Amino acid sequence: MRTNLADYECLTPGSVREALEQRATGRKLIPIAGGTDVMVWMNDGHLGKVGKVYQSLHALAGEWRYVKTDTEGNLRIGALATYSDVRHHEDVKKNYPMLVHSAQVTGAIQIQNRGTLAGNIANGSPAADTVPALMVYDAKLRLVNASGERVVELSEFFTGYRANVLKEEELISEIILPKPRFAADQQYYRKVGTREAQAISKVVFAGANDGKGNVRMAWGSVAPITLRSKKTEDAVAAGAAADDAWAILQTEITPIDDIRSTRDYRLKVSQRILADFLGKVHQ
Amino acid sequence: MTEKTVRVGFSGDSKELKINPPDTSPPAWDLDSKLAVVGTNVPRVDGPDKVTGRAKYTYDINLPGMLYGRILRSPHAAAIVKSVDTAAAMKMPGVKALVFAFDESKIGEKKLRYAGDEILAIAADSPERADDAVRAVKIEYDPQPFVVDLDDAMKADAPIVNDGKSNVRGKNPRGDAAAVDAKLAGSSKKIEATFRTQVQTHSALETHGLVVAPDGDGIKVWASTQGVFSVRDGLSSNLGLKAEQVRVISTFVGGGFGAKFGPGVEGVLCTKLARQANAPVKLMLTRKEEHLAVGNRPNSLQKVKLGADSTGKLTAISATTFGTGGVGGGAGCTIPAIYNLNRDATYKAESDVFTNAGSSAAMRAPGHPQGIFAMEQSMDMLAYELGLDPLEFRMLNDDNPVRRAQFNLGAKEIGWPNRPKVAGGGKADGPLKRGMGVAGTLWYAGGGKDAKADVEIGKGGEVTVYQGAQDIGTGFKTVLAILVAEELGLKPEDITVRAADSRFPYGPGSGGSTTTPTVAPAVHAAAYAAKRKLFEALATTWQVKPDDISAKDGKVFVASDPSKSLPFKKACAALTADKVTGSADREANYDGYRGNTAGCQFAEVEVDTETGVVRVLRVVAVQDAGRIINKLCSESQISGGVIQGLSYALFEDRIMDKSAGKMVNANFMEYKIAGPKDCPEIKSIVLDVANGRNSVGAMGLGEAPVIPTAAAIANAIYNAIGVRIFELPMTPDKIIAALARKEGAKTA
Repeated sequence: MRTNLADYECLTPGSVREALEQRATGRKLIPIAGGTDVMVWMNDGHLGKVGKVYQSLHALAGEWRYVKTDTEGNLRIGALATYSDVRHHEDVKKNYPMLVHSAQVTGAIQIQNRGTLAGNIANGSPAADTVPALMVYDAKLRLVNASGERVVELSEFFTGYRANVLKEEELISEIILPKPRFAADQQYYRKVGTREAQAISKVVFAGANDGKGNVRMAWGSVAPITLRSKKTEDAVAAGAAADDAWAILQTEITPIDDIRSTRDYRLKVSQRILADFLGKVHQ
Repeated sequence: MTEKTVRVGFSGDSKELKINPPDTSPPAWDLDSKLAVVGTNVPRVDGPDKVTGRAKYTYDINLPGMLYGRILRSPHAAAIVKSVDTAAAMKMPGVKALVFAFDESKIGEKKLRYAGDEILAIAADSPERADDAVRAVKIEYDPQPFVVDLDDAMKADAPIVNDGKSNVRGKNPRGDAAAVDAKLAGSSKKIEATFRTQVQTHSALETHGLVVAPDGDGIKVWASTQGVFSVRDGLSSNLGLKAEQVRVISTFVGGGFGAKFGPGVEGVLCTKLARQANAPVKLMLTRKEEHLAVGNRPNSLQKVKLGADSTGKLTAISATTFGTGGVGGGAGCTIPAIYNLNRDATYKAESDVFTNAGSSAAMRAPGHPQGIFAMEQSMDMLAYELGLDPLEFRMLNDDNPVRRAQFNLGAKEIGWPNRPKVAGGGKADGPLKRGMGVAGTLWYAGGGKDAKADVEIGKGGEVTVYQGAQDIGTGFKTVLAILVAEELGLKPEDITVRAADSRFPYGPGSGGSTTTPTVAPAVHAAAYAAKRKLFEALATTWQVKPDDISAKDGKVFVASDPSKSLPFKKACAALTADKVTGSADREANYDGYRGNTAGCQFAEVEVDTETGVVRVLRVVAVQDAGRIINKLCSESQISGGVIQGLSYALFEDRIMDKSAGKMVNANFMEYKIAGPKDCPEIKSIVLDVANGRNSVGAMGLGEAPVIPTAAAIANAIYNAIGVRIFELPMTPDKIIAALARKEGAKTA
């Protein structure tokens, strides 16, 4: 239900430095990047106004809205880069096709024009479409605060359902993808949604194999967090067959019944996606 | 009255009919009539306004000093309202009025029966302030036991939703169960199956709502409605006003699908707020309220038994059905009567089951998509049981010549012989398997009395048609222009259409697919009467008899004398008055070709046997609607029905949390409707049938095309993968589970 926006407290820092200084004061500030999750939560009445303070990152776009390849060949995606920025970027199209695909199937064009990949990560939905692709590309996150920064692996960022290692005083400043190493035909992205477009996934998967012992597999909507199935990856890298890989994967994913589908369905589809993936990449 | 002979029917089946129309009626159009505009492709007269945003829907009406209404609704599935404290809400800035949805003296005993039940409404000077004020009302509830699930509600110990000893209300069964069972027992093949369908909400793009402005001693109302006159009559009787003190305008309506008749609770509350505040109030429902409180298509549980003899002739039909329309009734499935057997061979028993959920409302062919889903899958099952082609089996048992012709047309268009002959036996593309299915449909929309129309011809050649009924997106306004243009020999764009206003001549509510068949003959007659007045004026000028004059191709002329011919506009200068008006009442129907309409749909699907995702590739929909007035709009009406039917088949589902008693997907994020990418290639074929029941012979088309889609898709899924899905919506998890059961049965 709507409410009078004028009644909300929202800080509007003009620079990254000011934003981080505001966060350093110890107040809990809810960051707004594209707002495509915050506004939905607000409209649903899940975000009250009592004691909540928002922080709009809108004015930080000059510093944080970019997609570029650095001198070492890593791709850097600024925290305010949108899905559209990413999916239309030439370097991304050339080197990270699963990222293009996953950005394409996220929401509608309007969402893609406003929503950010960093916001998709911070929101922490286990059904996020871009996160499995980012994980397979070994994405790292740069987390900054007023006095410094740290870099964490995306695959270690989530600690539980909508919980992560980000501290109150921190913001994600950028996503870093190492130099591409997977051949185009060794990358596999699959989203099974409720309908063809604008649907939240029932199962979402990204996987890749470099043929040199590096297998990556990341899953969404089958556990409280998006996760890499590292045990299954190791088994597959060691040459496990589909049935053995499936036996191991079942120890790593924990799907549930919910509004979009059932546990049984998610297990069966995960098994088939795994088999399809293994059939299409090097063994 | 003079007896006349008309030829009715269609190319495949026609007959001559004697009719006795009143002498004032225009000559009836029959099968042999050559019409210039009627039946052609005419773009909507209001299309440009809609696509450019000029069209003003109720949502777009903004008046000076207007307030915004918001309704406070029950958060509980069942609760007694113990106390209500509105003091804090009334003190909030901008709050101007508050009215209760029930008698205030009942506080302490008033029982709320579903999550979404109305409690009170508040008007404030901004929508946000109204929302905040609603949140500030303090209510003490005493929660009561509730039940929201059909099966749970039928149990003996279920909480009672309304009153009485049970939540089940059976209607008198039709037929003799024992006699029908005996026939089934004696049949050479029989099937028995249980089907379930879900609750679907109407989900019109424009939500329910109104703008009500005090106007002298009455009110002026803009309403998103399917019944301009039913809103007028509902509000005037509720408020003790005379009908003429209430003016209702609904120039543009963003869909209704059956849920927008009368003012509704929100209309009465909005009007009371406006009168209390003495200011205009806009009250448009939110999407959440739309899902909870203003109607839905009831769900169903249907137990069907069919039998056939060794030649493939049906021997018996038995159907026992239950459904819940929430706190309301209307959950009958009717098992539509495509295949007519004798009374002693048909048994039908229907029951309503009450639950603590929002009341059902009529929804696009009430009962029919449910009933056809069960009946036409049962027919398919029996066909496979008999080893017959499902289409051939239908042809054996369907005596309607129109539908038989349609089956042939549709089968040719979809390429029916190319389907897998053995269910699940088609060529697979990896995990993808294809199949085809068919289902028949019928509807009854002949319209009837109760419409008036005025057609005005001005001295300058301006032609205006006045008709009070609304166009809820069906193309009704364009129909009015076409009919008048046909009669006057003009083009539809030459006609000004004034519709959807209770000050114009009376028109029906848009329900039962009757707007066009009810109104069209009155408009035709009014145009004819206006034309006669023009001809009478010209007859004086030209010194001929009015009967010698014709109007065609933009000209008015005497056929036997080429010197007497004028363009329409110039001819109108002969009028002595500034304008003439032809007025007409709708005459009762006389006998015609048939009292119902027929249709059928063919679907081709592709099922991903690994994920259970169904893609509908093609739908061929063949439909009759009597005489087609506008081919273009008819085809798009059929496409719309197919899309809504597909959405019902695969996606839409009101999901209730049984333990909380609430709908958990009261939004469009989780209540999914088919999107453009889910839509198949649709081939709409209208079979023009001169129905002959009045001077126009049009039948309705709104409802029939939504009826058979889900059944056709279900049958196509079976044909593709050899697994039958008995429950809607046919979501991937159900397909995968059914395939797993089949595999299990094989290996066991």
